[in-house]
Amino acid sequence: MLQVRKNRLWKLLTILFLSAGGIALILLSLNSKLDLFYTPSEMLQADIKSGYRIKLGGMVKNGSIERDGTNVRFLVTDFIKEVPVTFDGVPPDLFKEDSGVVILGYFLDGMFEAEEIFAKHDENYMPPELSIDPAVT
Amino acid sequence: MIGEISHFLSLSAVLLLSLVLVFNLFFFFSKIHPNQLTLSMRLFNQACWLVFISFGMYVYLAISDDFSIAYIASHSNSQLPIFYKITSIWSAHEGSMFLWIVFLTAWSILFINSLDNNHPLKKFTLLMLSLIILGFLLFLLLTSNPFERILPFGALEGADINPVLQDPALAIHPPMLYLGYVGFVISFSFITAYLFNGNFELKWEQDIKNWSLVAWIFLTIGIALGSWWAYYELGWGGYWFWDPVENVALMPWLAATAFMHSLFASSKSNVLKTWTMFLGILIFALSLFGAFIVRSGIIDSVHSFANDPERGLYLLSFSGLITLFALTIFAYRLPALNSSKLVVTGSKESFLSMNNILMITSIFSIFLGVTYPLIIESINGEKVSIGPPYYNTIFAPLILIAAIFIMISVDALWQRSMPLRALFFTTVTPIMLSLASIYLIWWITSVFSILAYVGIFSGLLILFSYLLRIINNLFNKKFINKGSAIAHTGLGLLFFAVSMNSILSYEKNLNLAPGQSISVDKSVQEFSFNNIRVLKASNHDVISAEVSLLQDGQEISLNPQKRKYATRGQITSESSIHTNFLKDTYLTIGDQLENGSWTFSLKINYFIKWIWFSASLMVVGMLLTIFKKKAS
Amino acid sequence: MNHLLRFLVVLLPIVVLIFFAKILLIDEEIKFSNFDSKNFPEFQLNDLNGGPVQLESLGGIKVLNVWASWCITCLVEHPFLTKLSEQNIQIIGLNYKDSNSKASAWLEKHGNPYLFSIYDPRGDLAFDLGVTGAPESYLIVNNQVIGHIQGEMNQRKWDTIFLPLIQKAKQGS
Repeated sequence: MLQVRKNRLWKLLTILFLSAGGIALILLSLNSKLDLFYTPSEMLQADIKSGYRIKLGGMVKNGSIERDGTNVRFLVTDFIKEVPVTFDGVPPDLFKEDSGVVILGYFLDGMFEAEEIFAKHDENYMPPELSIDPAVT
Repeated sequence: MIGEISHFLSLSAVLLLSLVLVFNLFFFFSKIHPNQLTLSMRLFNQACWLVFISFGMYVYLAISDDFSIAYIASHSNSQLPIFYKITSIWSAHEGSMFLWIVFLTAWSILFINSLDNNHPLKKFTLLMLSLIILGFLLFLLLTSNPFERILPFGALEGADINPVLQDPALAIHPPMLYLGYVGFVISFSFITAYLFNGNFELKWEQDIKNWSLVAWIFLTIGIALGSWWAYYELGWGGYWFWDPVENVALMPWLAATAFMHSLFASSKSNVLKTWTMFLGILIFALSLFGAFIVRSGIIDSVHSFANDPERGLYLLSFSGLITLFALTIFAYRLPALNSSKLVVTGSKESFLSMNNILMITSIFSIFLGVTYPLIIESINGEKVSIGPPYYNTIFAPLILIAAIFIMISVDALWQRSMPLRALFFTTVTPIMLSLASIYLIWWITSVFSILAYVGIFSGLLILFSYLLRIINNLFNKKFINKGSAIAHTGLGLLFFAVSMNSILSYEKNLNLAPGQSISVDKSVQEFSFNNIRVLKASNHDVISAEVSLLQDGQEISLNPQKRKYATRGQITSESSIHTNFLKDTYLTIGDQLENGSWTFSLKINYFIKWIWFSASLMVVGMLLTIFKKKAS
Repeated sequence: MNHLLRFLVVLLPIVVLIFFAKILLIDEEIKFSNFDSKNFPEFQLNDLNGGPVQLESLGGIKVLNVWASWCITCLVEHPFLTKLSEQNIQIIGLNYKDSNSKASAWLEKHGNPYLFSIYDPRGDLAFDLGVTGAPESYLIVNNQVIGHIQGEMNQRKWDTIFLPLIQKAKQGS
C-alpha cells in the first residue's frame, strides 16, 4: 500500500477505535450515574431500593426544622405527602423553612439521610424573614 | 425622561442596523451606490454609538435610583454602594442581556473598522455583524425590555439585589465571561464571510488570530472568577459543580482552545484549515447555545434565570438560524476546501489534529450530559440529573489522553514524523518520574481513588515534561516556546491540583458554645470558639464569631460571619478562609441551637491556591503568545 | 465520506433545534396541565379591614392573587390586574406576610383591583395553598382551585393558562 494510504488507514482505525470506546464509556456512565429526582409523593409511591442514591425535592415544612448538635432534622413536603430528613453538618445559606430545597441522599427505614442539601435560589421575590437570635454577649 | 431617551436610542440603533441590512441586501449583487460600503459603515458605526450611549444612560438611571424603571426597582436599592448599583444592572436577565449586546457591539465596531475598505470580506462581515446585533437588540426590546416602566407611580425604594450577588468577584464575572463569549462573533462572522466569498487563495488566519486569543483570555478569566467566587462564597468549599450553567460556559472554552491550536497549524503549515474553520464557527454557536440554555428556563438549575418560553423560542430560533446559515455555507464549500497537503503521522500537525478530535469528544460528552436529562424527561417524564460522577468518569480518560498528547507533541516537528528514538527519550523520563511520584503520594497519603490518580498522573506527566524542557532550555539553550510552556504548565498544574484536592480534602462538623475549646484531629490540634459579637454595617447586620485554631503548630484566627441584609431580611454566611501554600482552612458558621451553642463546618481543602494559580499561568502564557507575535 | 460529513454538519444542528423547540413548547403545556385541582383550603382569616372572610365568597369564578406591599413585581403586574378588574373579572387579593397598614396604604396609592384582600400575615393560608412567593395567582371555580400561575401575571399567561380553564368551566356549568 502507498504510505499515504497506510497512514490514512491507521488514522481512521484509531479514530474509530477511540470513538467506539468513547461512546461506550459515555453511555455506560450515563446509565449508571443518573440521579433520579422525586417529590415526596412520588418517592413514597415508588419502591426505592435502599442502596440507591436519589434526589428528593420539595418545600421545607414550616416549623419542622430541629437541630441537635451538628445534626439537622426537618420535613420535606409537596403539600400532599411529607418525608422526614436528617442531615449532619451546616446546611447552605438559602436553606430555611417555607423554602424550596433539593436533597441528595438515601431513603432508609422511613428516614431520608441527606448527603447534600441544595437550596433553591429563586429570582422570585421572597418575603422578609426574621431569625437571628443574637442571644450571646 | 432619560429612560425614554435611552429607550429611544436603542430603538434608533435597531432602525439603523435594519437600514444597513436592507440597503445591502437589495443591492447585493450589484453596486448601486459608489460609496456603498462607506455609507454602510457610517450607518453601522452610528448604530453602535447609539447602543453605547443608550447603555451609558441606563447606567446613569441605575446610579440615580430611578425606580420607575421596573428592572432597576427589582434589582437595585438606594442604600447600595454605587459600584453595586452599576453591577446590579447585570444581575438578572434583561440587564445582563443589555450588557451582552453592548460587548457584542464593542467587539464588532473595533474589528470591522480595523479592516481595510478594500478587504474583500469586509462587506459580508459587516452584514453578518449587523444581523447578529440587530437580532439581539430586537430580542432585548421585544421580549426582555429593560426599559419597562412601573406606572403611574414608580416604586419608592428598590428591592435590593440578592446579597449573595453583592460581591466584587461576582460583579466582574459576567462582564469577563460575556467579553469572552461574544468576542468569538468575530471568528464566526469572518470565517462565514470567507466561505461565502469562495476565494480560497485568500489568507484569513492572521486577521482574526489576535482577536480570538484576547477573547479566549476573557473567557478563561470569566470562568475562573466564577469558580473562585463559588468557592469562597457558597460555603461548600467546592469550586466546580458540573452545573448546566457552568457546562455551557466550558463548552465554548474547549472549542476556543481547540480553535487556537488548530489555527496555529493552519497558519503555519496550511493544514487543518477545514477543522479550524469549523471550530471558529462552533465557538460562537456554543456561546449562543449557552445563552439559550441559561435564559430560556428549560433547565432547572441553581443559577438559571427566570422561566419564559417566549424568550426561549426567540433565542432558539435566532441562534439556530444564524448557526445553520454559517454551517450550510460551510457544508456547501466543503469539497472545495479539501487541502492537497497531507498531515504526516507523528508530526506536530497530526497531534494538533488529534487534539481537535479530543476536544470535540469532550464537548460532545458535556453536551450529552446537559441534554440527557431533557431527553429522558421528554420520553417518559422521569426527572433525572447528571452530576459529578458522570463528568469525572468521562474526563479522567480524556485528560490522560490530553496529557499524553502534550507530553509527546511538544518536541514534535512540523511536517515531519518524530523519530521513535527521540520519542522514547522525550517520554521515558516524565513517565518514570510521574510513576515514582504517584507511588510516593500513595505512600504518604494512603488514599486511593482510580479517577483521582489518573488525574494526578496526567498532571504530573505534563509538569515533568515541561520541567525537563525548561532545564534543557536553561542549560543547553534548547529552544522553548515560552508562552506555550507556561500555559501548558498551568494546565498540568490544574489537573494535578484538582485531583489532589479531591483525595485529600475533608470536613468536620462541630458544635461548641462560646468560650469552649476542643481538639479536632492531628492537624487541627486546638479549635477555640472565643467570642461571638453583633455588629452593624452599611446595609446589613453582622453576627461575627471569633475562632482561633492551633493548626500544625501555627496559630490561626478565623472570623466566620452571618449577615442579615436590611431590605430582604435575607441571611447569608460569610466563610472565613485561611490559605497557605498547601491548603485552605475554611470555616463556616451554622446555626445557634437552643442551648446557646453554635454549629460550625470546618473544611480543609488542599491545593486550592494552586488551582487559581494554574488559571493565571494559562492567561500569562497566552499573553506572552500574543505579545511575542506583535514584537516579531 | 465528504457527502456524509456535509449532510451531518447541517442535519445535526437541525435535529438539536427541533428537539429543544419541542421541549420548550410542550414544557409549559405539561406543567400547567399537570395541576391537580383541589378544594380550597379552610382558613380563619380576616380581610384587610378586619372583617371576617367567608368561604362562600369564593364561589363562582374567581382569581386569587397573592401580593404584598414589599413586592416589586406585584407593582409591575398591577396595571394588568386593574385591566382585568375593569373587564369584570373578579379578583380577590391574598395579602402575604405584610403589614396591614402598609398594605392598605399601597392600595390607596396604586389603586385597588381586588373585591377584597385576605390578610395573611403569617402565611398560613398561603402555605396550605402551596404559595412559594409573591406574586402568584390561582384560578378558583366553585371553591375548587383549578389553575395556578407562578410569578408575574400578564396577558400572555392569562390567555394561555387561565382563559382556557375559564372557558372550560363556563361550558361545564
